[in-house]
Amino acid sequence: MLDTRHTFETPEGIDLGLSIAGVVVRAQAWLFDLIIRIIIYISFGIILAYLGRFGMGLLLIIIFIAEWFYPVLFEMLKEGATPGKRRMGIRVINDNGTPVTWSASIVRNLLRTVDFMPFMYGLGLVSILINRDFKRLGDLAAGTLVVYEEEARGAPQLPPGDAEALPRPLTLEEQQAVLEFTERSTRISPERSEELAALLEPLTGKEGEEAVKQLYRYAHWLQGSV
Amino acid sequence: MDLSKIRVAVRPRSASEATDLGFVIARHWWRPLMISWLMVALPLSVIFHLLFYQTPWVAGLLIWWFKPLYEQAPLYILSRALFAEKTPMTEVLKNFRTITAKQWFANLTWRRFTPRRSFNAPVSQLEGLSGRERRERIAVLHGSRPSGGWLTFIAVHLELVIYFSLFSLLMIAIPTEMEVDAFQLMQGEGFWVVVLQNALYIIAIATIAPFYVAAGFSLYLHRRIELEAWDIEIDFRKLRQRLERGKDLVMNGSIASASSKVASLLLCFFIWGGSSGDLLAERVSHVDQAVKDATRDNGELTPEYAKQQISGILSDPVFGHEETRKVWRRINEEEKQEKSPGSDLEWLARLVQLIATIGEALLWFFVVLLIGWIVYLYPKWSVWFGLTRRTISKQYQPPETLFGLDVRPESLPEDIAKEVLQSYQDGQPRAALSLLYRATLVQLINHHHMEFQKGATEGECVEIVKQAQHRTGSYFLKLTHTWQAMAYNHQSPDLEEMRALCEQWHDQLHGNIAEESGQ
Repeated sequence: MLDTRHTFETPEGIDLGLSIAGVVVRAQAWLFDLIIRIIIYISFGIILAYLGRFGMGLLLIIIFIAEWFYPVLFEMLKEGATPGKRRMGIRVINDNGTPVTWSASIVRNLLRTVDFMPFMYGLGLVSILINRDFKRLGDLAAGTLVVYEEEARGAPQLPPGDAEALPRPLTLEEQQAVLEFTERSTRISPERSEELAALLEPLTGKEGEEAVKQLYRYAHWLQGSV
Repeated sequence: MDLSKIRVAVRPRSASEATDLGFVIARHWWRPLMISWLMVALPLSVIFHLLFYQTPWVAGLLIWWFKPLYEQAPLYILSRALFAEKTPMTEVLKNFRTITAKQWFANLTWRRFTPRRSFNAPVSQLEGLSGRERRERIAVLHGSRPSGGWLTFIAVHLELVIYFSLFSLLMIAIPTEMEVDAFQLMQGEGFWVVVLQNALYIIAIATIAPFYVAAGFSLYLHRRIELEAWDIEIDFRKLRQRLERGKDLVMNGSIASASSKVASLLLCFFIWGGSSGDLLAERVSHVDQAVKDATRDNGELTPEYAKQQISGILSDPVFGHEETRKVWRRINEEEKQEKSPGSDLEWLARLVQLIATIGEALLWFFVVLLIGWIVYLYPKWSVWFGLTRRTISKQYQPPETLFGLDVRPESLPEDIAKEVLQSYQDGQPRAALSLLYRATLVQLINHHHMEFQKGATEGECVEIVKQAQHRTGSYFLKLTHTWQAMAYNHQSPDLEEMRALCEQWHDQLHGNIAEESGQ
């Protein structure tokens, strides 16, 4: 099965699923960060222009520091995400799943210079395209990953209805499928819902719209709502 | 389309994640995608250059313009590969018109500039829709949040990154003596310069194309998975299969609720035993029989009775039994048969045998090597693991001189204490003390295993003795201090002090030698 999701087992034996972020979303984040930096440089430039040559010197120092440490500072102080990454819903972590460390962040960002070769991240692009975990050279050296933020998922929102016990026990995955169906059925066309529900005729013993309703009832029973 | 065969993990994703999945897909089927892409792109590029050899930049423009055409065959191959169907290149060539030229005019004119090209392509290419139907279908698929635009925007820039990277690499590779100006080469207008530019451009778009096509297709799939709940369909189908399998087993059902315990217990056995077709029906009838038996008398079910029933069923031939058969067999014949296991493959068998023998010999060789190695390293390991205490290491070479003093045992006179007092009384306290100190060092090195390194200072020697917690530690410290006061401060000890030092030396160090040598 091809997937961008990789599971990591913690020492406690818990599987953590992490979706690894690829080229396009990372390029978008980078672009956003670039725009932010340019805005900062321009606004500083306008203010510092009043200080003449001293101001220009100061501006160059600011640009130097920002170019090298903008990603490091945000990755360390903002849970692994620069503003661009935050906007795109991705962040940097160590490739064992732990939060990114100072040394790793510094290494991955200093090695941008290598990834940047020979023109605008040419090497980094090739590395990302080839590598299984979408790692550019800096990520390989620092042992970091860029992954999607996990969005917290609340209890399933089911359409209102009664509850009815399942006629026979189902495995966890099967129960989840029934719940998932009920939760998402409002976004699926009614015809498709009936088609799907018809598949479970051996379970519901019903057809058409009634089968869908019956699955709703099982879902309510499974969720245990009042 | 058989969803159970799909080769990607089906679940709802975000659009970004779907794009990333496309990149994973493209990486997996990179070769066929690339070949099928080149199969159309390369001949067309050559034709363009032949047609516009006077203005090769037009050829470059056409190469770019015709991009949608190259992407049709990879998409077709991908759509089949995802459902575990292989597409030989010959099939692509045979159906060239239907695959590559499908709706070519629309694709190259008014649809050429839509930023969602790779998302929309499957609708016309795979669903075969056109005109209003296609428009409506695309509207449904995109929903309120059209996707694919960012993909195209980024992909175009990735192509440019690769194009200029290749250019930079080329410039690095050209020796500076040739004095080629990068900007001139980039804007050059000579035929071969432009052909070079076009070639680099083709490499750039060829690198990105499989990813672009696959990512667009993945976005399209993502929307269909979302709208049609493919993941739920897959799960429901599995569940249905399971339920139907279960129903076959329990058919003729009517199992009384009281006996369902036994029935499910037995079912466990049957499923576990593994089964196929005709045996199954037989076993089901066994279940029925068992259930009937179990409930026959007063409908009560006791554990003893169930156990008895189970053992009765387990003794059924279906569960295997032993049988003794006696037959005549010629011993010679058997040997002959074993020797010729199929004549035409005999050489292979011999070869395998030979390889096996060599392998075994090698294995034993390595075992011997390993044992030898372990034996060789044992002294080291035993120290590491604390099996034996670290004694004088083999490498330790006792120094011949320490801070300018000769510490070879043979340089010492016979009776040291006497000699020392003698020279002290002769008015040579320095010589006397130096001899005593020297003798002490010699004793410590040679009889008490103190490892003084070459070039150690007096202080380091004291430290080593202290660390070894040797009983002469305090004596050695005192002696060293006296010696240092003598050597560097010209403070000679008085006679009493000297006598005491000599006596202690006798007690602590010299006496020891006598003991040791006595043993």
